[in-house]
Amino acid sequence: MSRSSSSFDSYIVEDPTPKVKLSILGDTGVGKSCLIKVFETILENPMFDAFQSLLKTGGGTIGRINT
Amino acid sequence: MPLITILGLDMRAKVFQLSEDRRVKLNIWDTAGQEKYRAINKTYYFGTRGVLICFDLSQPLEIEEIKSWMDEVQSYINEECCIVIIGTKSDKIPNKETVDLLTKFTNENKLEFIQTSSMDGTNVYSAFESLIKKIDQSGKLGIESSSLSTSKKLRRKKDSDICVSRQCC
Repeated sequence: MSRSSSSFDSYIVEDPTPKVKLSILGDTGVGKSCLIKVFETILENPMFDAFQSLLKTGGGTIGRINT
Repeated sequence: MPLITILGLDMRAKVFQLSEDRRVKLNIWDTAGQEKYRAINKTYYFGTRGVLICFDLSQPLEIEEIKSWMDEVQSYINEECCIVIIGTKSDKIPNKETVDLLTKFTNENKLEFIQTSSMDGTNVYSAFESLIKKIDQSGKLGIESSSLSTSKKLRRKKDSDICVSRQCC
């Protein structure tokens, strides 16, 4: 039994953009997460300058609230 | 006010434009600072090319603390890993001993020391940019031109080709 030619074509996409892994180290409370958050915001919007408000509303994105 | 702490790790992916025609995908691993999570963090260090070690400029600091983080990098990451020392909270009144200690340590060990403030954005971009450029200069970035990046290679495989390779038909 011959297999009919399928109309389905698959595509393999290769993204050659290099990746680099960076680790941010430091004791608790030194401001690692805030540093990353501000950097991300600058990348997304280079004209952004209201960092104070950003940190007030931001904080750690993953984590739990220890009261 | 509730204290928000990272449990374990958090990872962010961002694209950084290194120059006009070169870009790089950043995987930024935000580690938990608390001592009890150090063991977890170590398991995620594999493949790290660059490290920012952060210290609070407004707090007292001991040389042992700096050495402890340096040992951690050299033991669990890679001795050839690019390191930039970051002094955070530069908008606050700095602890002079801490600043002097970090300046002396970085000079002696030929490391870069950047004072940043997340509150006003001072040097935050420069800190990451400096680290990425160091990695690039060390040849560990493997940057390819954006012409390749933008015109993503598309390899078309027909169903029949897949069957041949799998030897299923």
